[in-house]
Amino acid sequence: MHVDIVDLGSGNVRSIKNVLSLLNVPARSITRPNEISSNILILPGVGSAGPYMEKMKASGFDGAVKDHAEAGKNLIGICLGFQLMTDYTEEDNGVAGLGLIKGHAQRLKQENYTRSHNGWETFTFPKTILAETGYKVAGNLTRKQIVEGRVFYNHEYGVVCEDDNAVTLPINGQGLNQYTAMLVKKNIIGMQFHPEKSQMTGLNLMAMIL
Amino acid sequence: MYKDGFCFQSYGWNMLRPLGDLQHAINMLEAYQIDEISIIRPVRGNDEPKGLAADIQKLENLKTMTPISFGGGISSLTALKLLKNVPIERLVLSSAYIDKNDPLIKAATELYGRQALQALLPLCYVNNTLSVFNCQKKTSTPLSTDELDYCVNNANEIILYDIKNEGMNDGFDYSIVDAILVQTKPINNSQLILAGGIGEKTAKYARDKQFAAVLVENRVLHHEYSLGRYKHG
Repeated sequence: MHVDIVDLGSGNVRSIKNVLSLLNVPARSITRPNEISSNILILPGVGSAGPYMEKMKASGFDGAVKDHAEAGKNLIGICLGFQLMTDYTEEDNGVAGLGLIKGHAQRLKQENYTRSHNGWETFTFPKTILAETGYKVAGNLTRKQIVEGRVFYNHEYGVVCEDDNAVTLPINGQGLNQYTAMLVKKNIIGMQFHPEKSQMTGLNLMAMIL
Repeated sequence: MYKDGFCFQSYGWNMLRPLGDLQHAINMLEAYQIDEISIIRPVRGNDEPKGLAADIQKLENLKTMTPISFGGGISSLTALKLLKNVPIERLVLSSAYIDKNDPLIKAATELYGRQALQALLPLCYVNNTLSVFNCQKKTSTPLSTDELDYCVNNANEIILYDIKNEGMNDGFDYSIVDAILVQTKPINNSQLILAGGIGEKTAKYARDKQFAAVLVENRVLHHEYSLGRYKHG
């Protein structure tokens, strides 16, 4: 088993590779769509949606990522990568997403002001969700049946999911539970938090979903 | 504090006490499940591009699962491009905000997202006037409302760094906060981070005021490196 990580010159690729090396999972960062060879593709994302999506289109990764997912292979989106898997994001005056998940990314709002969400929240993920949605795990990296702990968030936009075929977990933060922390839909997983920077909880979760 | 491949504890923005190798320091802090680690290069107007590049190269090889913020010496687009492979979540800029370097801040926003940008203001009183130290120019000037408003509008968080009391336990001067809150337009307290002389009392003060966070100096590492450990060992 090996994992391919989309590398568009920005993002958390190095951190993700670090986590995968702790799990003894070989990983490659790929810069061209024709380099995709794994059944597991990670779409990381850091930065602004507009420039990131422009890079995806210019490189052809927008089509390649969609093809990968529509062929039934596993796709994992992290943070901005997750947001861009939806229909659109409000960021940068509106950016069309890949349309793999029904829903959109919206500016985080609390009462009368917009905000960013930076910090740790509690998180629980039972492995049964994977079976429920038909997500197939390629490796057998852990026997844990539940991951419990805290995860790290760093975002200004949140995913509002409208997909009946997806199972979602809300963000456990004050005024934020209308936004999705994690989503599983058949062969697609999206995470708003950064598992690669969520210490042991993140490591255990990655072991569970790879 | 991190420079030339080593970690330091800084006292009063002046004296540096070595604390050892970066990866070792990170491993110690990670063992304590620290929320976030700030790695700041103590630039005092004497930074060289080669030194910055060498420090950044060491950061690229850092192995950690704890969120990292990094800054110190990122004052140009060239310097920003060096960070491409560095596993950081937040970028700390100082002179870029004081000098209102729009192109650099715009580029940083595109690469990291506005939520990842922190403005670090090294503050002290000079002739009873709250002044900010420009690390690139090595000068202190009275902190203007204009500079503050720019930080409020263009940074996700503002680090108020008490440079005089840096390294002192619970030495942070609260009048700095009072002066800031008077000087700028209404600011959300969750945009402020306190640093320099942080202890338990300051942490409680920050928590009560609902500030974003405090930056604690290397007190954890003091324990790891203190002579007391060797005596008991």
